Amino acid sequence: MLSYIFKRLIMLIPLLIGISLISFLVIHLAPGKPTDVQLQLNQKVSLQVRERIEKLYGLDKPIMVQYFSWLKRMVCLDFGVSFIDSRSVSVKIAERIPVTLFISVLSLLLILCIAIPIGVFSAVWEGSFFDQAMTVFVFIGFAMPSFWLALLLMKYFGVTLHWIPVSGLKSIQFDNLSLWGKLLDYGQHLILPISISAFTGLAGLSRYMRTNMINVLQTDYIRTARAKGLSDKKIYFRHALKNALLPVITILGLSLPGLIGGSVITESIFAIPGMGKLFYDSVMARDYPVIMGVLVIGALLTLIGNLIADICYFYADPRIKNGS
Amino acid sequence: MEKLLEVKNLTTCFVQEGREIPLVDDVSFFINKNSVLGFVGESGCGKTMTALSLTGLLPGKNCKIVSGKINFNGQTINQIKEKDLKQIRGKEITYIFQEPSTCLNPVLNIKEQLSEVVQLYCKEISPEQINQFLIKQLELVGIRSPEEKLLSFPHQLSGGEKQRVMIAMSMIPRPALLIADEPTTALDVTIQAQILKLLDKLRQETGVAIMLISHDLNVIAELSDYIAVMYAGQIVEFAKAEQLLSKPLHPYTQGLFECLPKKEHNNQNKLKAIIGEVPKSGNFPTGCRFHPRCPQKFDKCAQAMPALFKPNPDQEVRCWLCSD
Repeated sequence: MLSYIFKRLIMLIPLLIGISLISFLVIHLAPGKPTDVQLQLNQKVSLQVRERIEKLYGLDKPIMVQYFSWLKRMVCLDFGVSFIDSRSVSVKIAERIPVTLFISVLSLLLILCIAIPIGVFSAVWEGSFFDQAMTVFVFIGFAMPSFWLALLLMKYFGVTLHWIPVSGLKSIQFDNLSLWGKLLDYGQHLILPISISAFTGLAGLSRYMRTNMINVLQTDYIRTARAKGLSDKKIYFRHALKNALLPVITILGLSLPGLIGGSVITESIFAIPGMGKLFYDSVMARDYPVIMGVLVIGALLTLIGNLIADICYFYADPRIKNGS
Repeated sequence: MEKLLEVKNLTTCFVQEGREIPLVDDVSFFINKNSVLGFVGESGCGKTMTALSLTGLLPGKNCKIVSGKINFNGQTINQIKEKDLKQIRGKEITYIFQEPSTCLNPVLNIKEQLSEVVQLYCKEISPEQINQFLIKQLELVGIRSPEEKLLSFPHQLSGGEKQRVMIAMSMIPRPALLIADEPTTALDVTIQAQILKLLDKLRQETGVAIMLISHDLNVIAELSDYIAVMYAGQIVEFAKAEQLLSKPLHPYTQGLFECLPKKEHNNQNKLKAIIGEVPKSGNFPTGCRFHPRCPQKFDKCAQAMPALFKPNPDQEVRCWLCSD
């Protein structure tokens, strides 16, 4: 098992190099330069100043040279410094991760708690009113643009009803609040972003769960369970659910990068200082080192998430565990 | 002989867009206590559907019993509530299916799958005694090193062992009727013989009656006291085993005998086959359903469906040749 994990980790290296090369090229091919925001709008800046700054950032060199010097630094785990505020990229990312992680984990938990029961009962009562109503419900969530829904809810709960603050993470008087007051304040700010990202994410998992469960319910071993005279509860939750849940491990593994990456749209709309917002802002400013940092972390987490899912299968599925 | 199960005019249909397609058509038979009834016929002629109809195990909502009576131990079990049927299915009537590899739940070990039955039907056995009890049950069905096998998962057992586990599982509640649906089809020939011997031993020792379903006349001939031959959803011949084996009257039964390899077969005397295939449900020919493939057909066969005639007291045949 250890040698297997080691082999898989070694195999990540060429993949990561490939992914980073493509991302690097694509970003540099995009129109606009990092210097535009700082310099172009300012009429007083002369061409010489501009060239000097480009030279300072190494932007005058051929793109492959730029890539290799970036790669060389990456190998030493040096993400470089931001073009915009000259702060270290790793520090910038590290300070954004907790907020995003908190939001993503909560919304993922919410999705799991709602989507799995929806999927399971839709399969058990396949074709019933519940099944059809849930299909409509989750697809509304899937099809609705999250920014639009977010704006509507902000307008209603924030502006019309004044129940919750419209944006940001903390209120102005946050520092003067008691511990419970602080928690409540966070809660009020986060309830909308979390519910919206959960609602829009329900469809995938619940439909997946429904299909799995329907397939499992048609298997021979479920017929055996019924022939044994077991109660419906035992048939569905002991015999069927265990089998139907196994493939969900893959989905969870693949959601790992999303946990750290956050949602660009939700965070931008609610002005939450998380990873999604950082990525959005750095793309707008063509802040190459930050963009590359976020992308590489995303890619690494995707690959590691996959690996973790495979390892979890090994422990969850007796056929793999005892078969090897 | 006392009748354990008596089925009268059972018709099971698949309902599609309001149309009823018969899978089992007006089938009547009986099983005596502690005896073996063999069901033989080609694949797709309704043997399994008949077996599943008996305890309401039909797959999906589209399959249902349309008419007929199933009498078990003096109770009409196709007209009782699902709750009461559950007292019979799994306890009084148990099943073994064709594919032992898909009929056991892959993520539960043998002990977990067997104990469920013990907990339901053998309440006198305390949790501490379960291990000992299960080991004894596995020994009874001829499993070697049962202690070790008890903690195995299905994929770690051979096909024969899995089928033995299925048999142990179905015998634990001490049923009155064991329905064995193609119990040997998926197994090696040597294992087949062992499993048949085991079934016969269990019948003698426990007094269980067996409904043995197979497409293989040899398997049926081995154990049966009565034999029912099915074709296209109907029973075409039902007789005492000695009678049917020594003097089959229906051309289809005769055809099945001719399909068996015999010692005297050589190049001059090639193995015969019944030409054509079983018609699909809902697409049955008019008149006798076998007439398009029958070597002895005459005009009347295509015009009217023969009733079950009784040329001998112990033999019923659905063929115009036996009408007088």
